[in-house]
Amino acid sequence: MRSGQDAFTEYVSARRPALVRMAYLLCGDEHLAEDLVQSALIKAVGHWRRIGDNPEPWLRRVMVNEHISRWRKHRGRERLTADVPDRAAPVVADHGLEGALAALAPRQRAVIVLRYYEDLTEVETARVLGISVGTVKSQHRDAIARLRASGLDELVTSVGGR
Amino acid sequence: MDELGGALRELARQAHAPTPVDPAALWARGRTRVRRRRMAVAATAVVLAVLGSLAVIRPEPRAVMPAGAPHAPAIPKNIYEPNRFLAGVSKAGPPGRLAVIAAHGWREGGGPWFGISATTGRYSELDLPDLASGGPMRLSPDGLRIAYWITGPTRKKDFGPRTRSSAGGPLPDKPLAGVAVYDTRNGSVVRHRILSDYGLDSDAQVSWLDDDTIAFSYSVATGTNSGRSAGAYRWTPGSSAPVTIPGQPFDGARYVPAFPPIRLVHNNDDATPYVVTDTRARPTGMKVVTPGTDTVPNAVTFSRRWVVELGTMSSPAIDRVFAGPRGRDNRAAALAPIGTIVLPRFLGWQSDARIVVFANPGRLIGGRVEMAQSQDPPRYLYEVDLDARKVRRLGTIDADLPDVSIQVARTLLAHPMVLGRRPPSLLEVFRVPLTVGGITLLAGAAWIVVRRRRRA
Repeated sequence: MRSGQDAFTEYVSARRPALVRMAYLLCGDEHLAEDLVQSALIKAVGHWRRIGDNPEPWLRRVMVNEHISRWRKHRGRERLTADVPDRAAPVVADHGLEGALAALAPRQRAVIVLRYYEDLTEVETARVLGISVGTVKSQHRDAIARLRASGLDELVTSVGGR
Repeated sequence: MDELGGALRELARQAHAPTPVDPAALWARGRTRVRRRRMAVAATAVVLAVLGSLAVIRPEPRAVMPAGAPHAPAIPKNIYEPNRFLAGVSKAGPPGRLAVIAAHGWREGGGPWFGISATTGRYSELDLPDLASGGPMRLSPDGLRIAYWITGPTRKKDFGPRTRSSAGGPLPDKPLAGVAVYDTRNGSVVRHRILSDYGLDSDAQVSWLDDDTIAFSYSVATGTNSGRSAGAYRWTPGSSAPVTIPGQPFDGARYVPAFPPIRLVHNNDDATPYVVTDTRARPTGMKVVTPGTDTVPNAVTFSRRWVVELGTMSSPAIDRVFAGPRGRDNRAAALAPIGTIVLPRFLGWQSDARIVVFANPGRLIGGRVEMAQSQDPPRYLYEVDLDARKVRRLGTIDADLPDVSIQVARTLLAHPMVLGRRPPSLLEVFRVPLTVGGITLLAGAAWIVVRRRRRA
């Protein structure tokens, strides 16, 4: 029988890259994304006996809440960086999506990521965010409106009524 | 796959490959975090428990009731029962001149006593030095002193042989061993210790003869259920040793208040009241018995001009106020009822033709007694004018206070009464610790909620 640590090790090895990608969509920063995931995984150790069978929903919830909590804590503050990004800003591939996502409030961004990247239903999204389905709907509506205003009409046309 | 989902996946793929981490190191950090959180939870729980215990469970602190604006010495029209957590005079200091003293009603057989200041309306617990629990207290007519029975050493250490007092009353926690007088102005106590084998019987009596002198009588506990009478004494604390009062049958006597300056001791056995003079107890020559019988009424009070009885003398058979002028032979002429109040208790003389009583809120209506229907209705304070034969309501007395314990500074009855302050409620006494406890509990609850949300 696998011990908790063995299962944890196996899970981290297999799923951490995917978790980091989702975290990147949530926060738009690769380092922050790694930090979010690492923080969530460390927290998961204490609950592993309970969530070990299917840790993904729990980790998603912790990552989203942690990100919103950090955003609240640091909003309004400028962040200093020692290095200029060495990667050219994507021009075509992201359809201006990265900038448009950055303009969303963190909860709206989380709704978009959970609904369209993780393919969660409204109910599942509400459960992850700890808010009502009605709030999910209103956040979704506002987020889509903002994406449209950012010139992403083509991307969101097909999801308007979703 | 819709276009937005595809675009998001494409954007996610653009992120650099994550820096490799050692899952074992993550697991170790997670375990360390768990241990630290458990220690923090345990420490917080201990702190919350300690704070909660201190704030809620601990009966202290006892609050000192704030004094009201000083006024001329007066008796309050409304007398309330304070809660049991008021500070005692041992902590708050001497209460000053008192208008009222009474025992709490929450303990069977006589609870702790409290007093009400005559000048500020402040309530104080009377936890007097060496006080015999359950013993009586007597307030001097001017409200400046309190006479009470004290506990102390006995010749034989074992207090066990006596299982109850000769009167069948409750035993004090420790043996009675003397009488004392407490000065309400400076807190000084003058004690007269009485050394005996097992202490004194708990039915020992004490009463004020005037502002400076008390009379007391007691029986010595013998180790059986019947005590041995040791007689009666008069004593002016601080100026002389107690003096035996000769020539009187004092066993079971009751001291009866009279309009000054007559000092009366009423004897149960022969229904003859005695005047206590400086040298002896002299029969007054007055005699009051319930008509048609040779028994003594429940209470009897004499003035120079009036005989007043609070008892049952006519139909319906319930205690009322009866009064009649004194006859030439010093005997009472026919006593006639005054007013419709029932079950009165005597408080004192306001003048030589006016008394103050308190009574249950029942009334005589059409020859029938109508008692109050509500639960624990307050008792009313009445002024009874013997000349005009009229009754006037003055105020209220809390229904829970034991009748026999309520005493006023009788001298002050002649002065105008004041409204009376309400003692602080239990919530007011415990406002600070309850607030601290409440905030602590709320903080604990909030902390638990936040912790759960974070876990989720």
